[in-house]
Amino acid sequence: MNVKYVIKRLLYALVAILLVIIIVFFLTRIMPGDPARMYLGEQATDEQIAQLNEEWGLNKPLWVQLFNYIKGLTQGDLGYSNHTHAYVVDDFATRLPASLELAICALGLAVLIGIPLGIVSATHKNSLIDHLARVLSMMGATMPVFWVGLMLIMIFYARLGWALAPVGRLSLGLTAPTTITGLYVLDSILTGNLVTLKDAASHLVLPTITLSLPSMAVIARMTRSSMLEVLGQDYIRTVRAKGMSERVLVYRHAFRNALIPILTVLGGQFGSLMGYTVVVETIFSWPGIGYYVTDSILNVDYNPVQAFALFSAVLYVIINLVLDIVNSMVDHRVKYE
Amino acid sequence: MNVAEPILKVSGLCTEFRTIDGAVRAVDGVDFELYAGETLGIVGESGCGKSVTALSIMQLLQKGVGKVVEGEILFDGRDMLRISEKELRDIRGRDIAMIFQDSMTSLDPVFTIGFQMSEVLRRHKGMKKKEAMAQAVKLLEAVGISRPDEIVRSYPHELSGGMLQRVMIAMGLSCDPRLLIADEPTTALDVTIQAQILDLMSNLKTEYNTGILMITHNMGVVAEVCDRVLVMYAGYVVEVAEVKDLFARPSHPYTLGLLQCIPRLDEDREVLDTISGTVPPPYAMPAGCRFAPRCPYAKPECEASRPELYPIGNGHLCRCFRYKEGTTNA
Repeated sequence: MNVKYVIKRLLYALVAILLVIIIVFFLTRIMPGDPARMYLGEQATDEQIAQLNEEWGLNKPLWVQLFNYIKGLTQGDLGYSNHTHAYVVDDFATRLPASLELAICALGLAVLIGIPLGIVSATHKNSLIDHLARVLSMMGATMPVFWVGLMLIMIFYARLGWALAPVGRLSLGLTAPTTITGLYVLDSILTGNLVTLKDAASHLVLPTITLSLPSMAVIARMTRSSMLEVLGQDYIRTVRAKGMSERVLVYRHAFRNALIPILTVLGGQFGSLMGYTVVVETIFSWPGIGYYVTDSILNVDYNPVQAFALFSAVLYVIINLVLDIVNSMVDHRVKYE
Repeated sequence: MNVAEPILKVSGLCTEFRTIDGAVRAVDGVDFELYAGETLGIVGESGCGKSVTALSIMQLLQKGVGKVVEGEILFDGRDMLRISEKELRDIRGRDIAMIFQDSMTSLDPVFTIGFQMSEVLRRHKGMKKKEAMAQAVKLLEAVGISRPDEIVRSYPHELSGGMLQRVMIAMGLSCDPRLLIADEPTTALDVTIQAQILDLMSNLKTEYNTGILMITHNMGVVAEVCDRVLVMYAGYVVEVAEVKDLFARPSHPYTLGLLQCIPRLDEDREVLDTISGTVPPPYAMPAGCRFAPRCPYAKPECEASRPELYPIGNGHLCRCFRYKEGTTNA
């Protein structure tokens, strides 16, 4: 891993991000609805709308609008949100911790369950456990996220009453813990607030499960096939011939080798996770950036949607770059130049 | 030496593989003994069951696919087929070491040579990390690797096939095993390196008094390093002899054929000799002698019943009716 390689990668990433900006810019303009009319309401006159369009610069040619938008971006200006009446940057800052908390929990759960499930599946190939794991991961991969979320709410909240009302991060009447990281669970622990800790954690359960299922399924399947391939390799036979225990064989030698393709898949999962976030946050009224985006789309509010796409693209690029670096640390045959 | 107890005694070994066509017997009734300080060669063509025999001894057959169904494998008087998984792991790497054909793929690509070598030492000799690393350097030096302190820090992909096979040998010898099983250790190497590796193994045998089971398809390797030879064909042994005796009077038609296939420098030929026909597939083994369909001396008797291993003097055994006592055409 050398500096030149990283710079080259970042330049490619910049081109990709620019393309994302342009594509999303035009896609938002195709969305049905007129932002000014949405903003002013049904009773607004044509003059008022024309005046607002003039003010927002929406009467200019598209390419001029695009140019102005990119010019704003270079100065760190993501624009103004018409429906929250605030700057998109500030809206993001207040909502990002909520999304982050959910995403970290979901991905953590996906990894913590998906990887061991895949390993056990591979080491007990064609056993009952393997078949069960495969059925589960097939279900996880095929069930639509919105449906899973609604089913979980129906069963665990509406029928059984085990879960809290699927609205937001905290129950009504509770105040958020002092902001340190913005992650309620972590902040509650740091401030020693057990009541909010329990409540915040309980609110996380259903959305976390919903959001983690698709990734969990992919990770479990990838782990299984990757482990199976590695377990058939000559060097695993060597490990056995050395008299090492099965535990060392599976977790030290086989898993370390199997991890390489799993890491690659994990990188791709961040992308789909960002997409599912929008759905899951909307279902559970989770006040994160996904929910914000849904709201913005419904209000024909261009800037937040563009900002979300930009944010996803940048995050995706960074995470994949980091994973490549980790990859080269796990596997010394991987050299980046 | 032969007065002593053999370190390895295999009797009636039968190994089967599960395939879509049902169970297939890859090894069918193999018997042999191996003594300390002796090199026993098992020779035969691909698929004759020589590697499966080696893997059966180490109990390294892929679970659920290959299985020893009959016989006894006594190592130091203990039956490898009946001891616990734990005892088996204690024996592997410490008392019996194994070297494989393809050294390039036999080492874990994500760990250093030193780590993989020290793993054995830590496992069987209870060494600490540092101590084991230092020992690994010494072992590499013993197998003729220069700059061993650099090599321990390198990864398998940074070394050549010959170097890696030396590493495998060093790793195999790290706990002074009583038995070293070498499964075609030189097949993947080029000729000059082959000679070096064989030299190395011969030296180590005299130095450590290790018994070596040398699996090969190469008669040159047999002549070079083996004391005694087992010739295998289609899953069973067809001839057993001291190495000199085998080359002096190869008796089984298959052995004869194998030796005739080797081109000679003092002959000028356009076409090499071959054994006509192919090895019968394991699911369609002839009822009688398995070599009969390809044998130039085959008689009706050969197809009807299976010959035993008949003694032909000097410890030499041959599975051919031509040597059956009372037959005149020997």
